[in-house]
Amino acid sequence: MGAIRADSRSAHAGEGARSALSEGIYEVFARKRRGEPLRHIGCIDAPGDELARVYAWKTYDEENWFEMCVVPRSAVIPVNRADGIWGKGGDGGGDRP
Amino acid sequence: MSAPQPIVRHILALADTKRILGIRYSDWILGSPSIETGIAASSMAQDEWGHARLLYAMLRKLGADPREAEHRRAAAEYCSVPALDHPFADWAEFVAATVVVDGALAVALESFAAGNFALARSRVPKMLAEEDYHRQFGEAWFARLAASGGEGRERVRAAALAILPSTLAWLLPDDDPQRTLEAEGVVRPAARTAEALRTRLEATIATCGLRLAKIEPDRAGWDSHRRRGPGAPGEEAVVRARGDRNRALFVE
Repeated sequence: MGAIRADSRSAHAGEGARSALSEGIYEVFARKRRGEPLRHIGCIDAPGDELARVYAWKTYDEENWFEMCVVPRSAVIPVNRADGIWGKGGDGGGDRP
Repeated sequence: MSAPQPIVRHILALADTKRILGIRYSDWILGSPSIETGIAASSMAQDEWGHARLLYAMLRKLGADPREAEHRRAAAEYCSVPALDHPFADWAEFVAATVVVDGALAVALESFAAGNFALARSRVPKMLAEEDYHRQFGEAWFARLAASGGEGRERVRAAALAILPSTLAWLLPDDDPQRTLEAEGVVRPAARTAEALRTRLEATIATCGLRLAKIEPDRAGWDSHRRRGPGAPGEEAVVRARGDRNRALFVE
């Protein structure tokens, strides 16, 4: 997405900005109350951990979350299914914004 | 135009800046570098408008009519920072404003919340909590553009350098209304506010070689009634800020 949009107005910030827009996928987990298990609520594209935190909070802020965290998809290690949603080529099973 | 009470001028400066900043953010809901960035811009625009509404409402406590301030003033009466007079020309200008203007606003709000005006003490802390995400957003994007080198770095550097002097003047007025607010304990002393801004901005702007100590406030043509230099936000923004096109649907 970043590469596509970099061709619009953001391209005015230059070639360097375009390389800065290379993004990774982050899985978003959250819970509404202390003691509840974290559940997977979706995923976002972000160019780094700092923006992943902001994008996750701003994208999924329709609920009053007690806790939210993000995990780079690349850090998720499938245990029993290499062909599952977390496996190579899987979509993570999350709704993209 | 008679001089407004110092605290009225202060509230208008904060509220007007937030309202126009929200408009400038909203221009990039579509066309920003990614969908997530656009969603963040949308959320930040909503934050700014919500905060502006709460700030305008404080005027009622001071005997002024918030509806007059929100919906009936001409552009030439706005007390917003000059950095927002025109739409952002590119993404680098958006990012620079998020760091410099939103940063100056947050510092001004921290000072207001720490003072003795009860409504600020009760309402501003929640605004500051929401502003923390604006800070993270601005700092991360600024650092990325600065680290990218080349044109991206130069553009965000130039954008920050262009708006810092007038924003410093807006944050740190060197005039009697501001000295009255400080003497009455409504806001912190100027030196403390300047230090808070330095703490907030220094590391971020240093990523593209800027130092706050080298930048002087631009007070040329200072308008004490509006707490800013010459100029005004563009009519296109003020029409939206006032809600002119929705006047027939106005409900209060």
